[in-house]
Amino acid sequence: MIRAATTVLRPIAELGAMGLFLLQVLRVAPTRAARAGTLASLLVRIGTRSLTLVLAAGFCVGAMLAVQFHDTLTRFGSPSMLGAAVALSLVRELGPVLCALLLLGRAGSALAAEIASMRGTQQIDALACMGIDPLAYLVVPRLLACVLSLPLLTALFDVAGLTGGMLVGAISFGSPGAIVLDSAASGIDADDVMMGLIKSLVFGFLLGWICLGRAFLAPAVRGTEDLARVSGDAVVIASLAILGADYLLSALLP
Amino acid sequence: MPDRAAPAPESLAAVTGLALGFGDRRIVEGLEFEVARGEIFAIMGASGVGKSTLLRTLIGLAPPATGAVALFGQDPYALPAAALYALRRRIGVAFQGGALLNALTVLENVELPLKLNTRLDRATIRIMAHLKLELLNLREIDHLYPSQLSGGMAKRVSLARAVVMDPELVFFDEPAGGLDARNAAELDELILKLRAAMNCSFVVVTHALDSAFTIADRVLVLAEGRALALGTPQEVRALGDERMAALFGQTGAGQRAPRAAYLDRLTAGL
Repeated sequence: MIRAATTVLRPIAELGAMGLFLLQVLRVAPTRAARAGTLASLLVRIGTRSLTLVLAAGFCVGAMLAVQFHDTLTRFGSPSMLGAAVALSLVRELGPVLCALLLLGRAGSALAAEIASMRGTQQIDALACMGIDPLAYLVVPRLLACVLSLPLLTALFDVAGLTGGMLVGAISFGSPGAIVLDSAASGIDADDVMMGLIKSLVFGFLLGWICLGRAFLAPAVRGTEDLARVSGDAVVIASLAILGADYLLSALLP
Repeated sequence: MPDRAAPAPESLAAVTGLALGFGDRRIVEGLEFEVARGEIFAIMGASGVGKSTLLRTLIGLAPPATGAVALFGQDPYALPAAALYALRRRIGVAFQGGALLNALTVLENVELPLKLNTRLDRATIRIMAHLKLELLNLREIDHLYPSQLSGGMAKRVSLARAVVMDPELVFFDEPAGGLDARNAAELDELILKLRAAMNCSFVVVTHALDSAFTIADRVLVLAEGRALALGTPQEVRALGDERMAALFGQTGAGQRAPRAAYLDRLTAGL
């Protein structure tokens, strides 16, 4: 009975702790320690180091979409819509969600491990003892870097995906690149771009909040096993949150 | 002429009726002591008696199970976050493993409290950090990252960072922990040098008996879940209690300290 109650109550308690963590982060966001000049280096670390991965993955996804859509569109007699179908899928859906999951695996797990390691080696305690709020100095810039990086990486993912789709269309199916591009341009409008942008901002926020929060609130980090557990849990929870948010945003936004 | 009593030494940190523990389990209880301005106060005891937990409680990182803590007359656990951070700017803490920020060099680690807590310009901050590094003989390694430092160096850098804001009270967790006899003795000398140069007080948590007896003005001995002794090193040595003898490995008056005895045994066959 007690075990069952604990199983039910623990996630609620953890959600509450994460909510309080977020409120505290927002409260200290305008302070001096939060503007201590680490944002640029974090953007480089989180953003540019994920660049190659994002471009390669985007290219492959675009190429795969072209192959899939070509068969389907040919069956329905609209192969000329190949560019529009690839672009729409990338911009509205696959770009933000896949890019978020890639960044989560590449940078989110590293951020969680970094903060958990700092907790375990008393670096967070040391900051607090220096009179520096660790939430302001460590968490705010990292969260901001996640939120800013993801839309930029998603845009590059989309461009790489369109390039992949266009090349497959041209090489495998004989569709001239200009026609694929023209179809892509006519297939998406401002609402689609806005949808992709909002999704990537929300996913970036969820990624940062969950990875940083789970690591920051980790009760005891005493070794590599604890580090692996904290970062693994953070990635799993953030993945589910991103996919859940993807459904909600797709259902709610125009 | 009325008698003029000497003013009581100002208390920088004080605990009353303090008990530490996790959940229902008590590690240590019934603690009562004060740390006076200018003194070096050592908290001694074997591993696991709650020395480091007591230090964390004193600096506002681990609430006590019962009892009260006062730092500069204020209860750190009753203060809002901003006031607690302001209070902590009056102390310095050197952690056992150094707790240096891995992404920053030695110099940047030492500069950090000044950068974020003062409005000094960059050049002044650099000069002040260099002064402290010089004081602790670390000037030559200011460009290194924490991963490139030995354990002893990391402790000294941690101490430099702890004193860079000229605190009134410095907490040092296990200065001798993990160090050889020579490095441990050097750190003891640095603590005495810093006290003389900066007129600050120290609370040193240590399991090294000879280190505590060398540098401390007063010693608190923790054992068996309570304060076994509190007094000057001479007073503590002279207690002659059987448990003290057991704790100290028979380091009573006229006896050899464990490290000296160990070195004697080690070099006996040479």
